[in-house]
Amino acid sequence: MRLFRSLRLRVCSLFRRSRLEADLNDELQDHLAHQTEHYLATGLSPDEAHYAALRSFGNRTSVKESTRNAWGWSWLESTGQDLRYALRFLAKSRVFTITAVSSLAIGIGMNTAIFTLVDAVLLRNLPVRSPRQLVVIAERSGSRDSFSLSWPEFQALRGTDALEGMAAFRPWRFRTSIHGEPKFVNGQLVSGNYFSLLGVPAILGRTLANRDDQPSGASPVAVLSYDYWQRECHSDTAVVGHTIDVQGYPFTVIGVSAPDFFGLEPGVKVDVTVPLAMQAIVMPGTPLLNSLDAHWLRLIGRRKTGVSLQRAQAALTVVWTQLTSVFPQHSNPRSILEVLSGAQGLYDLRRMFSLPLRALMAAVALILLVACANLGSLLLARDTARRQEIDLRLSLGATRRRLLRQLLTESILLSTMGGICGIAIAYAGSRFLVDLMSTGRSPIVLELAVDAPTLLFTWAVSLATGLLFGIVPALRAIHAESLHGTRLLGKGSETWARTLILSQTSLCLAILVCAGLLLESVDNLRNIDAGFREDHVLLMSIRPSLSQYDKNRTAQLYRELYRRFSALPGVKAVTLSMDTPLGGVSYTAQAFLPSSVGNKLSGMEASVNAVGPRFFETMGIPLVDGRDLDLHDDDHGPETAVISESVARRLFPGGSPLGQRVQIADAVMDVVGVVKDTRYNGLRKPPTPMVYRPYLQMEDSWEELFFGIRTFRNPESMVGLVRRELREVAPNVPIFSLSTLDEQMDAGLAGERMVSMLSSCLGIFALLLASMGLYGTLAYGVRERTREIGIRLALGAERAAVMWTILRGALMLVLCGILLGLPLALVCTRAIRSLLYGLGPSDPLTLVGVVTAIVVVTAAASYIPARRASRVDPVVALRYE
Amino acid sequence: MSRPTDLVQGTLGLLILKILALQPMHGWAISERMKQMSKDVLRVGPGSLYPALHKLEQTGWVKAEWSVNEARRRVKFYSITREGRKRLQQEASDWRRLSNAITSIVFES
Repeated sequence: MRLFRSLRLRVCSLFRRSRLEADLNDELQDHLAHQTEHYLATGLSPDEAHYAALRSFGNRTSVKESTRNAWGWSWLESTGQDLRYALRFLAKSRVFTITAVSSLAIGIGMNTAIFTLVDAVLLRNLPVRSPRQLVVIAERSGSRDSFSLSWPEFQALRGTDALEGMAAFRPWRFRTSIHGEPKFVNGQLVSGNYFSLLGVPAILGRTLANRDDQPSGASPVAVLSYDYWQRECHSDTAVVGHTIDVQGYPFTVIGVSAPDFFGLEPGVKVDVTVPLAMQAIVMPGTPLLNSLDAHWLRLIGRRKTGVSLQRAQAALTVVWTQLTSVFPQHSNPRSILEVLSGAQGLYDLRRMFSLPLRALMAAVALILLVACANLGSLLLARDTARRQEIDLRLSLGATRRRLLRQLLTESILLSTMGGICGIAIAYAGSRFLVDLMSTGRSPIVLELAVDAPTLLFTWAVSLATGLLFGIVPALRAIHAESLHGTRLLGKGSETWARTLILSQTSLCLAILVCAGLLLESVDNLRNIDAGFREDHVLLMSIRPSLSQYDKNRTAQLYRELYRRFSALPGVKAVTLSMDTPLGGVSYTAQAFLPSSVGNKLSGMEASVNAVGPRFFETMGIPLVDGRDLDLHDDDHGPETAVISESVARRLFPGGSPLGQRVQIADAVMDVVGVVKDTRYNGLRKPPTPMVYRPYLQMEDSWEELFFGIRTFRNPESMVGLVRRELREVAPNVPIFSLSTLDEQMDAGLAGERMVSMLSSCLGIFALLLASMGLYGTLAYGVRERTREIGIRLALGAERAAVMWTILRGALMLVLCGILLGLPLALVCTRAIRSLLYGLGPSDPLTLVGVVTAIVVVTAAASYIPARRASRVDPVVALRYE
Repeated sequence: MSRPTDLVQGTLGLLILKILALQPMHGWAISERMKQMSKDVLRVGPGSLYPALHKLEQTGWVKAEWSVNEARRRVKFYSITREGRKRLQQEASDWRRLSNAITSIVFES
């Protein structure tokens, strides 16, 4: 009862303040009245009695305040007061607030964005049962890792004692249709135990079981992903039992998998899963099950509890060595089996972006430091300027603790606002980063969760920043000797300000040098003469075999499409090919002279590309000798080929290869032309020696041919027309892939581009921050020293000299910062050396350029306060109080 | 002997409870009674009295009522509650023990 009443009183005191205040007033008034009466009774006059009563009463305000404290909510009240005051102050000094909040927001926001991305790509575990128990298997020969193994190898390894089980899977693109037009989706073939091993449940129906994956014909069943089910089936709960057309063959939907499962490769979402045993139907062509040569399966296993990675590795290696001794001709005896942690899924995305992302994390952490340093110097300057106000409040009776609390409230408010804006930036920033990472051809799909832990982290960082960087200036302001506000608070805070500027400049230097180097590298890479012209070429591919087109129909289709595309308006040239420049090569073999005695040994390794007419014209590959392949090079005529320069030099040194013959495997071809070398395997690798054969003479190449269409204007504008023509000629053959040669070139540079773009932005931002910090500090410094400047001017100093003094001080500071930053810059550039191309980490030109940029910008920032100093009116300054 | 010592500050609550146990009264009357009962030794000003009173009110050992006196003025009367009486008993016995202990040490003959 007592507790209830006391609680009620406390709550009342919170909500009915004005009433309580009035009551208290009355009570004290009453006390006064009684006291007055008492004195009257002792014989004093009314006036005297009144004054005597007042005197004995004491400080009425003080009494009120003591009583209010007894009400128990004073801390809340004073915090409320602090907040209101802080808000008012921040609203008044808009420039300060905006600067501080925006620098924090960008610093914190970018950190959170990169962290989210790093988490999604590098750190996050798969959404499966006990992901840490998972292992992926790789075969390593020399320095190359291969994650693809064959079916017999899978069968041999899966029974190993150290593992609870092992599953195999193979990603593939399926032409599917469930309600309407067929389109290509990401799919995979998996072993029967895939879902149960991973522990992924079904939310509708069931997932695959071992009985679905029997070698003998098996059951044409499919499991849909949650995403696909939502998208294509519109979350229809009756989808189980429906038929889904996969590669033209009817499959039965047996279930929908759990919502957050997307497959085992981060960045790729698998939509349709079918059993491995259906391989022959789903991948028409070679049957791969039981084949010893075909390395097409990826394996994932689960360790038994208590079995370490090393033990699993040892156990599997034993089986592996046994296998290589049983099938010596099919396995490389020098290869070893590697068992790697599978907790985060497969490695492709991580391998490509690991270094760039790590570099970015470091850069962004540096930016946060710069932003915090900026905040610190801004707060310092602000607190310095409020010297008088603080003095006044101290003399009016405020405790130092109370003042400190109030200044800290301002800092925390600032950093909270910065943190909130930072979250908005984090959302936008992480999406932007993913867009940068993925290009048209293979969009990267990542679940970017700016979730509770991230937000908490952000909030904690912003809070810590506010406290850390607010407390030192605040303490300085409060505890300094109360001099009559003429100078900055002594040497201490000036040193602090200088240190902040120095560190900002050093960090700027490091980031900008890295950014400069990366930009140069990307530029160098893009400027490599890759041997073709990448502008204005549209690339499109179809897979007629997956729509049950046989060889004859396929040939007809290609011919027809070729004709139609060539006739489209705005098209300069059209061609077909198996491989495209920078798109990798499919087929490598020994090319040699048919007449040479040593045969294979005297030849060279070359890649073979099956091309249609006008390939070189479309791709912009210069013809060095002879002629292009054309429509006459078909299956009726003699076997012809065009070779690249490196093949010509090697196989036919000294003379012209035209009219000579070259042999690859069983095919002997007449050389009719020589073209320039072109890069097929990426910009950093040397050009690939190529032998070009007419596609009509290479039937096996017709699986997937790329149409290359060179347009006069933007290739994207052709897409609609191309689709229309395709639909007219072959309505049930969807487009398999669509992109441009430009995009293909960019895709190879995705990592470098991302880092260079971001580091440039960050570098510029860091420079801006440093300049703002410098400007702020100088401006306040000038204001503090107005009197001193006024005296000097009055004593005859020249205005120019005054300006120069200030400028010189600032420049000295910046130069010191640059010197200090050089070691840091060197360390950073060495760390990113593998991303560079065409220049070393200590490229002097970039360094000089960056230093110049920093000096120029900071000089500009110092100019205004310096000029203001020189404009001081000595009369006003001397009167300045 | 004008300000209450620290010792008295600590026992102010006890003193107020005792006074109110005898009779409900308003703030000024409490301070006068205290002066009178202690033969002018203990004088407590409003700066100490009212915070103590409000604190006691918060904890529920004392309750307050507003009434209007003859001069049409609002007066706040405090009175002790049942829990307050219990508290008073306990604090009084504590005080006796404490003061006896101190006395026996300080005035050891």
